[in-house]
Amino acid sequence: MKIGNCRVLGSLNNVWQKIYSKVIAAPTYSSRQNVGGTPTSSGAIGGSTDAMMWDIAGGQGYISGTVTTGWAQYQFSSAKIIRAIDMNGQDYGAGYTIPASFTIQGSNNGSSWTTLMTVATAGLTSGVTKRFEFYNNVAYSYLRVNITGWTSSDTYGGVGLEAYTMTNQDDGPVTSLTISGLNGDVDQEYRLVSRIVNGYNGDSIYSVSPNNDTGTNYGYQYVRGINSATSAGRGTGTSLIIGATDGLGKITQGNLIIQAKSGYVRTAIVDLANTIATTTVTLIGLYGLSWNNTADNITSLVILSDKANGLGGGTVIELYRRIS
Amino acid sequence: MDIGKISQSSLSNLYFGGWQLVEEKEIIAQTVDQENTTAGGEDIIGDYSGSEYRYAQSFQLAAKTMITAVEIKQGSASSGSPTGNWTLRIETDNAGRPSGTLANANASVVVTPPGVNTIVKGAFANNFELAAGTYHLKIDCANQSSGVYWNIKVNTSSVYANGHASQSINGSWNVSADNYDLYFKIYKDGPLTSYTISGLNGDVDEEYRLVSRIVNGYNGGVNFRLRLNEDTGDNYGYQYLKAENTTVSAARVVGGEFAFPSYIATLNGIAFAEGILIAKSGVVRTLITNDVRSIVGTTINSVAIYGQSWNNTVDNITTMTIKATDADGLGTGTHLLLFKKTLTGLVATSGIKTGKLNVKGNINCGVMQKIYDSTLAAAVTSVTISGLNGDVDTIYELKVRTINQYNGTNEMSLLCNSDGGANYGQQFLEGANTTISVARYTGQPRLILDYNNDTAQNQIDMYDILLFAKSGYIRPAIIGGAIGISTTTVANSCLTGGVWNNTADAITSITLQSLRAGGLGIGTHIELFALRKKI
Repeated sequence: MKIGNCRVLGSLNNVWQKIYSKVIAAPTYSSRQNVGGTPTSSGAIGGSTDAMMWDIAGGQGYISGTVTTGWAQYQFSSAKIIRAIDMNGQDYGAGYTIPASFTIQGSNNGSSWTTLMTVATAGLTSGVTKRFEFYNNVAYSYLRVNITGWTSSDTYGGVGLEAYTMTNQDDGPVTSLTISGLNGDVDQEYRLVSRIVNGYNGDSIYSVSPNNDTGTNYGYQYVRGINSATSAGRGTGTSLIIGATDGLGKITQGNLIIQAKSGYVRTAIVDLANTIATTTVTLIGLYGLSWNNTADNITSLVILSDKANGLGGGTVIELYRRIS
Repeated sequence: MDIGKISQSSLSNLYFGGWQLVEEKEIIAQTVDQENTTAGGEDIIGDYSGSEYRYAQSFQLAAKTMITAVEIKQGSASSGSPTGNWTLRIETDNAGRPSGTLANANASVVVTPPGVNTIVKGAFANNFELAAGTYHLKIDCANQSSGVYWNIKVNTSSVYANGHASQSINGSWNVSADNYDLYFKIYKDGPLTSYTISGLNGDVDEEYRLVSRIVNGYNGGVNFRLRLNEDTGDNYGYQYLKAENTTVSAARVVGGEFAFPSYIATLNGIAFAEGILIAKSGVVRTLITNDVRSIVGTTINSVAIYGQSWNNTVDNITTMTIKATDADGLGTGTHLLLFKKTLTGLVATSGIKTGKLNVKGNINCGVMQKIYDSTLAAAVTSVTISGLNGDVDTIYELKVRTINQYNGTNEMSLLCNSDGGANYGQQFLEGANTTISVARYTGQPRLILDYNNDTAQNQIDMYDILLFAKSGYIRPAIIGGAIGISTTTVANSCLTGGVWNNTADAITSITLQSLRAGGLGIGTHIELFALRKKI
């Protein structure tokens, strides 16, 4: 049959056909939300005020930099879904310090708190504002930043903060994605192409779990290169690895093929390139993988980050199947 | 909806959300497309009695043509001592005269005047395609002293049916040479130094799959590279892992291009590579490639896997350039295949709508179509897939899961056309627990898929094989393998470069075989995909 342009709205047999596509949009944020409410803190010092701690443009406020129980809090005029804060601190030298680690918490009564993000290494540079993004879908009336460490023990701990909501709230970053409605016994094979942008501020490992099986039912054998070093290794795990990165915004690409039909241990091969930033590709590897399950029809694939919000903005996940 | 077969023209798209071939370039030997070699007379370029004379010849291209060189012939004498070089330009047509505008930015080459009665051939530094139509080959030179000129070979009556000569005096074209024809040749095709695929839209296509079989056309070692949007800045990085004979190595590099494939050491050596590029902007673009390189006979120099990045988050990808570091490195026989991910039918906005399509025949729209699918119900020693035509299909993908029926060590391999002669070679890169094994085999009687074999009954192997099947050159293959699998133990992961040292025979069959009798056990699954091009 001779045809011109053609839109196949259903399946097309005997070719690889995309059946799932997800592009996690890069987050976009509102103007700052900490206006019109009530700032408080563990104790403003040095002539500063609580309000100064929530106005980066206006400078910063100070709490004690010699104890690790300090905090700065903002009560919004109405509950808000906060997804990011900006933090800034000026270290003027002797007597001054800036946050080294902290947690971000939300509350609707000012007494019971839910931790939204834990930052073990803030990585602040004096005078430079840094954004910290976190996944949150709950509206809170109170937002609190608890300082858990300073870069040095000094009198004046400088704190400048602002809070933001995400304007594309229904998008990422997310910790996992589930592709459901599969039928591995019919489809027989899947090809998963992934470009994952790390939405977590630290190491993240990415993997796939058929049927959300997180038991220690997976095996791997790899051969890989890291700069000029080569290595091989064999092990077991709780999912099929498809990539890893070591920092916020860094990228990993994986090309995975799974033999999905039941009756035998399921096998997979993945080529992956890890921790890519600018012109640096940190690792290249070839992995042979197994899922030690011979019985269950694959009905879903869960793409999972081992860290909260690890599937960040810019992540692309595509699944192809081959229809007989 | 059941239908027989699908066939599409080169301009059609099938929106089904899969890979579709959008560009195929096969470099063939250089030939003359247009010429006139009858030249009983002579005319001049240079200064005659204080006026500057130049010359041109119009010609017609019947179809879109890759122009690679031009040729003219100097006459039997000169007047005085003309100086400088000649510039040979292909210009567009303006009412039967050269327009003064290059037909392509690369359509100019400088040559040294060859001497009396001698031909000079100018090869363009960067070859280019011209659409069907009328063009002019113009000979230019620097202004000469009064009365100083070169003779050039022409015919003083019309012998070339599709054009005529033109002469300019002090920049004005006149009709005095309209019945003349210049001695000239317009060459097409032949080895290239680079080839650019244009008209891409990475933000829409999102992903590309590039398959290349490169034949080195340069008499020496050549590196091969891939650029996006002609970006030559040091905006590319890669990390590779390579096996070369018994040596394994890895390195991280920053430079002005992707490596794709990396290197061929000798003239007519072959490399085979496959890459998947995530093209959508917004973040750094990434590419993973596998390549098998410097293949001669049954010897494969090396096999490697690359992770690569293009440090550009903003620009839509509109072109890809495959280039050699040395002239004519993309030799005759080089074959490039670019697939893009088509829109799904639900997203596309043009074209006839269909529901589910159950195609009973070929899907000739530039896709890899499954043409064989079998799961063994009884143990056998080998499975032969026949009725193939590798010269038409060009590439095959073989996806295999073997179940070792033999109670002990077994080995899996392939044969092309049941050839059991010593005509196969492999280069292995394998990880087995914490040990990396690399090895090169030559002169083998089969294409061995696994370096460290299955060691026990019921172990499972998985292979993903890409074979360049078209004859004319030895047939290379890239093989990814996960081997010796039992429960959660994967004994080996292996990247293998393979070759069948046969240039002549069309592939009509592929055989998967076990070294041990009856070694392909129940549950062994084999699928073969063939490229079905648009027709």
